[in-house]
Amino acid sequence: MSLDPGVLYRDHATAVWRYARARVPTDADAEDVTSDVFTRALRTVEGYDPASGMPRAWLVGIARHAVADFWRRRRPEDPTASVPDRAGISSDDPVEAVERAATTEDVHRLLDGLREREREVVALRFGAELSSAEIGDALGISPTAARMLLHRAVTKLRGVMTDE
Amino acid sequence: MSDAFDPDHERAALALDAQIDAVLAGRWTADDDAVVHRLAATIRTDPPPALGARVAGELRRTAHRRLAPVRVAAAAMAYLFISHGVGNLVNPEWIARNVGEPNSVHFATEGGLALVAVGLVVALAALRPVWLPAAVTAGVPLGLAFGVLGVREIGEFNGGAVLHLSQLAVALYLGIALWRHRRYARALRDEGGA
Repeated sequence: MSLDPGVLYRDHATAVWRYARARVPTDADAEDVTSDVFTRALRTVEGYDPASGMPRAWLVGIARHAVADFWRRRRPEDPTASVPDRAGISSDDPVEAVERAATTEDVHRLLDGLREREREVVALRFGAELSSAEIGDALGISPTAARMLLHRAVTKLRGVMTDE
Repeated sequence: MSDAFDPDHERAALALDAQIDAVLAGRWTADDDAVVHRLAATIRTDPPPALGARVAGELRRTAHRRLAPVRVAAAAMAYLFISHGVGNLVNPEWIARNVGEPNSVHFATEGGLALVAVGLVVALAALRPVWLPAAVTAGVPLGLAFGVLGVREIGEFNGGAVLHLSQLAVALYLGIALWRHRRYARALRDEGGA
């Protein structure tokens, strides 16, 4: 298991990015958070205890703090807080890019309707792809409680998605 | 920790969890929950290709900032070794006179050349931190050995003692500082010519 920063980025950037993207409004914000996560990881890598979990769970823990800091820094009255970043979406096919942006926007809007903890558990499960046990560790709850929280979130989303 | 949940809900949550596992592993079926499909498809986007270069740049900048004192120590060590080596090459008689030993131009020249060579490796590390591990490997043992000689020269040849004890101090600082900041040196390992 390597803690080389380059290897950490290669192996875990996608999970960190997806988690961050599910938790912040725009691609540009997710890029800032992801970059922040790996810089923080470089500063704190000596404090990483392999016994406390796999590197991905450790990086996602850092990402959770980075996201919390992002929202603390962001003023609540910021009018651009929920404006999606269409310009930041990259794809070779512009039509596909716009369709994808629309779908992503919709899902982000729906996630905004969840309670904070439910949104977090969805981002951890689908973005960071943590298991229920790992999510339980991260949130300080049992794996069963993590599963139930996720189930509740997905049930809520199912309700609003079928109403669309 | 024991949680009291409705057994039916618990079973449904377990089934959903298994379904998410399957979908995330790429095993999609038509019977899957549409919400699970949609979440998996929309949340799991790939990071922009440019993000890798950006993060690499941030890591490099952080590493360079954190390694600045180590590089200053490397520059000091390079100066001490190179000036010592050049002194051996240009004025071995003066050194021999002061330490009260017979002058051997042959050994002074060879020792001087070796010192300049080690000094150049350490100087390279001051300019490009990717060379720091090599500089520490070559320079720190040499600095420690000179420190032992320096202790012996106290009272006999104080100029030499000051030089050797300075080499000892810089070697200790460089070794400890690089060990403490080894993660930053690691971050620069693939830096190439930056």
